Amino acid sequence: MLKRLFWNPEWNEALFVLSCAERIEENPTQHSIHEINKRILSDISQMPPPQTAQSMQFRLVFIHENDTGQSQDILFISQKIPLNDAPLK
Amino acid sequence: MTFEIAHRVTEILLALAFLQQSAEHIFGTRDTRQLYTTRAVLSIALLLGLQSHWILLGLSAHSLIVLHRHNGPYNGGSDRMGLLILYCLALSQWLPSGILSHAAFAYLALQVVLSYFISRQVKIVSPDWRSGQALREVFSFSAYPVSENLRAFANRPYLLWFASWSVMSFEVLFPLSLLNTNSLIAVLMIASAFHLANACLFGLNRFVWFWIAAYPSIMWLQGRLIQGL
Repeated sequence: MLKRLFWNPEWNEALFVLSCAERIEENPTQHSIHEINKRILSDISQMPPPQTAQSMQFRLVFIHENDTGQSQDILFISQKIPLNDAPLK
Repeated sequence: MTFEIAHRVTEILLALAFLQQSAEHIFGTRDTRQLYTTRAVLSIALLLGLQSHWILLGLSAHSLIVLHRHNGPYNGGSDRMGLLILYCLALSQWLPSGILSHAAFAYLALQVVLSYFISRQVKIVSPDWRSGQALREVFSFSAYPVSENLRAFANRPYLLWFASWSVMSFEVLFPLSLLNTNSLIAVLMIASAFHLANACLFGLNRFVWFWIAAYPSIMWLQGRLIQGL
């Protein structure tokens, strides 16, 4: 835990992705969509072969609690990106 | 604490906070290595006290490029606090010495006090915060807890109710601590522990360093206010 106080890059990166998701929910911008796409493509590129998927897209699901219990809303679905394209920069 | 000492200590603490942040980008995520290498170099110069007024101006100009790169703050509140400290220090350096320079530094202290006090106002009017439900939701299904084990806190309603009221009580009492130096020091230590807990539970490590960097300005302002009474 003490180490986390000085060195926590992956978690801060995750918080930035969370910020991008919140920005998309408020007002979708190409910048935020691009930042999330870039990170998903990077993760996919590090997955072991064989990869049979031809494209990728992401969705944002917001979970909240109401009188009837937990509910989930899909607030955004990104456009498909072909996986054989060069990685996003 | 004199103005000069408070100003210099803030510069040092801000430089260290920027270095911690930059190290995570240079050696960790690597996506923005060049951008943060520039900030790190400028921060080292600030730490050493080399031409502070020019370095603060350089860091301020560079911060606009960083904001543009991330289309806003990268790390939410901690980035905002870091920039507030930076701009207040830069203004304080560049404005004529005396009341204007002091006013820029006092503005930083005021904003830090408000950061706790306004946060209290938001929480105390919320039934979810008063019942502990808000913290339960944070632990249950927000993205913040750093490990799945911590989600078990969501099943401890009395503990979360106590934690909610502890946080709100602390934020209510924060401005009152300005009446006495010893109480202010005690409250700032409690505030540091609060940020430390947030770093451990929710991974918000950058908040610790940026908020602590702003504390010398409160200590200086409190001294000025007490002198004026």
